[in-house]
Amino acid sequence: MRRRFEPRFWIALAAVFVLGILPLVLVLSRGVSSGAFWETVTSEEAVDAVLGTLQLSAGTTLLALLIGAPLAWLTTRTDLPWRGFFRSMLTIPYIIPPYIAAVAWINLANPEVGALNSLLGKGALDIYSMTGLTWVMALSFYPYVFLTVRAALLSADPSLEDAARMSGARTWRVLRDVSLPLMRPALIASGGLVFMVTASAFGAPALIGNAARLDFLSTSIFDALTSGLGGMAQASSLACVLLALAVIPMFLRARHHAVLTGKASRPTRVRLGRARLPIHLLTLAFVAVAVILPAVAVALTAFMRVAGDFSLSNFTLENFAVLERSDSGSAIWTSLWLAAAAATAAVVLGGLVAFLQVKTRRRGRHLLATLTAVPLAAPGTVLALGLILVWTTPLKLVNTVWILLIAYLAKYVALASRAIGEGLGTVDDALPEAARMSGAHGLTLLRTIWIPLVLPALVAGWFLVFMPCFSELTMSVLLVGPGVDTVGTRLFEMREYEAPTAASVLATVVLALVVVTNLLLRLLSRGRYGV
Amino acid sequence: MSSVTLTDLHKAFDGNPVLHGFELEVAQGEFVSLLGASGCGKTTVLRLVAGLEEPDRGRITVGDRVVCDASKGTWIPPEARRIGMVFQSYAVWPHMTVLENVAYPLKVAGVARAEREAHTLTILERVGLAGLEGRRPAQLSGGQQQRVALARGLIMEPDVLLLDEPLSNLDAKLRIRMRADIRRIQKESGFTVIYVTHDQDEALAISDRLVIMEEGVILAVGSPDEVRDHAFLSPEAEHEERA
Repeated sequence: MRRRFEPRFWIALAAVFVLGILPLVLVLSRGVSSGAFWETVTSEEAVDAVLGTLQLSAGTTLLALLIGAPLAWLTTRTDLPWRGFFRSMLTIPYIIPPYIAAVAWINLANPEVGALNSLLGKGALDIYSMTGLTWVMALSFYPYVFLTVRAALLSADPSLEDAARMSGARTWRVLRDVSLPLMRPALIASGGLVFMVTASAFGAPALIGNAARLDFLSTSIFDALTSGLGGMAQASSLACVLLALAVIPMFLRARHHAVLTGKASRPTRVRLGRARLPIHLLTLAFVAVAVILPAVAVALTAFMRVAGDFSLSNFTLENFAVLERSDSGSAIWTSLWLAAAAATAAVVLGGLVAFLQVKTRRRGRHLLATLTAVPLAAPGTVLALGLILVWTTPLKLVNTVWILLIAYLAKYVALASRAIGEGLGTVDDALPEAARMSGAHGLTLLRTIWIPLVLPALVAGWFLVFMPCFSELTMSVLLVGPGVDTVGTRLFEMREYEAPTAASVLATVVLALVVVTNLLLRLLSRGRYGV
Repeated sequence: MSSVTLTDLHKAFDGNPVLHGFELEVAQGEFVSLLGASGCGKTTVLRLVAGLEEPDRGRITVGDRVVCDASKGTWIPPEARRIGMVFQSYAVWPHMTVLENVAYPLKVAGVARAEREAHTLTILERVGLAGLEGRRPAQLSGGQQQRVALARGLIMEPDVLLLDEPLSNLDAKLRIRMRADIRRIQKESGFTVIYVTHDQDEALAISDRLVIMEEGVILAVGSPDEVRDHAFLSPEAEHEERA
């Protein structure tokens, strides 16, 4: 019954390897074998960059935990009013690219013309600082903590906490002795993830860090590469260090307690009592400052002649003329069709990987799935470096749109394969078997049985890839130069060289598209995906 | 030792009434079972007495203390009611040893370490867990975890002990042994018990008095002999329950 040679497995493995693994291997070998490896990584600039990355990542992780965990507890275990509203609002930053948040906070807290500084007095807040950047990163990444801890609390048996109360423990005591230990694995896992994505982040650290003269590994890699001669060797050496840093948290493993549970009962809501109103107002204020204010700042600045001036005469539609200029207008189209093409390719390749992993018992299927997920976890700067090494000779794809298509597919195919794998997992094996007994096989089987059965997951997978591709910045600015423009590269250039109002127009477009696509995904998947 | 009095209890979840005017009096030292199919409101009654749910209306008195009176806004939180409880899922904390689990109520009450450990060891012996105090819950069988939960409920020498389907996750043989043990310990100490179950054999064997419930309403109350022939306890009803 089982064939020895399965071309589809080897095709999938070869594609995954060439797309995402080979580039990383080449960066590593190039970096370590470079004669100047030790010289590069022990240079003063490199040490500064490592320290900067560590400081930013540690600070962001700490702040994200301090924001995400209490909010998760408040919205699952207490009688806080408007819990459903808070859950939705607090999840929104999850889908907004951090560099958009950076643009927003530069509009708000730029020391010269920031909107908040016009209210609070010039120079009251300075976004161009390590504190400012940490704040922006934490507001972008706390949803990882919020969602993970919420999931842990929702699946934990609430009678564990009830039992502590029946033992005489008050709210704080229950939190300390029972809830917190139960949340520990979720805190460590999500904290590690925040550390990784912060260390890997490029857009926001570059936009804010440049003006603040702060160096990070990801920005140093970009600087090295764009500096020209010998830059590739130096960038590869730095990339090795970044890869090592971003991998550290993966070795942090919490001791998981065996789950001992019977029937999970209705959770008992902790009565916040006299603290209920203050906590409610505090949570509202956080939503207003962290979620609503930045979105409003971006959207309003897009209509301003001069950023930060709120007089009525300052508002205009002129900025949107930027979209008619060929470079920005075509950048949006390029991003749209690239994201659509990458999403389509990712559904095909990801679907094959998911099928092999979930519906066959072939040896090596788990290895295939793991290899598919590696590029998603790898920093975008490192992956982009590797792609340059792979696609310069003999195929000269660097600086063309095709390298972007390859990069997006390599990085995000795991999002599609994961969603499709979940969908396939719910299909009873008897359904395709019955079709085979009816004479269907090959493409007929695929077209008449598999695709209709997992269509919702295919659609979800498509959108899950489309969204990050449309707004992708990190790999795009490394892989293409002038001549090829995407939304991300245009925004990056504008923010550095042009008026902030023009950048805000593009940011508004990204924001609108992300929100609309997300709503569409939520509708199509009946609330299973999207926020 | 305390009696428990429930007066005119009303409780709805998401607009669906579960209890409407529930009344019950449990005498001091009495062992009363609430018997009924799942969803009949018996667990809700138990959680209201515990303070884990709040009634929409009604009053609960334990001994001479009003622990809850919705009309007057009286509310004593569960941690201050001094009531022991054994949960259906045991709710044994996976991150603590057997000793730490059982000693927890004493620790919260501020009892010194040496004293609480000595006390815990005697309780563990009483429930048949002597020698297992250093184990983690994951290393225990279902029956042993059940005993840990029971010991934790007993250690504060509560006036009232609430048991929510405590034996439903055990196999038949163990169930019969455990219910004999629970009854023995209760008779020795004389505390009041409210025991929730859907197993009529269990209820008939263990209780002083049974309360048979359906859809939030009491169908019958009486000693095992008095209710044994009640229509609810017909073989058909039992058959349905098992199914």
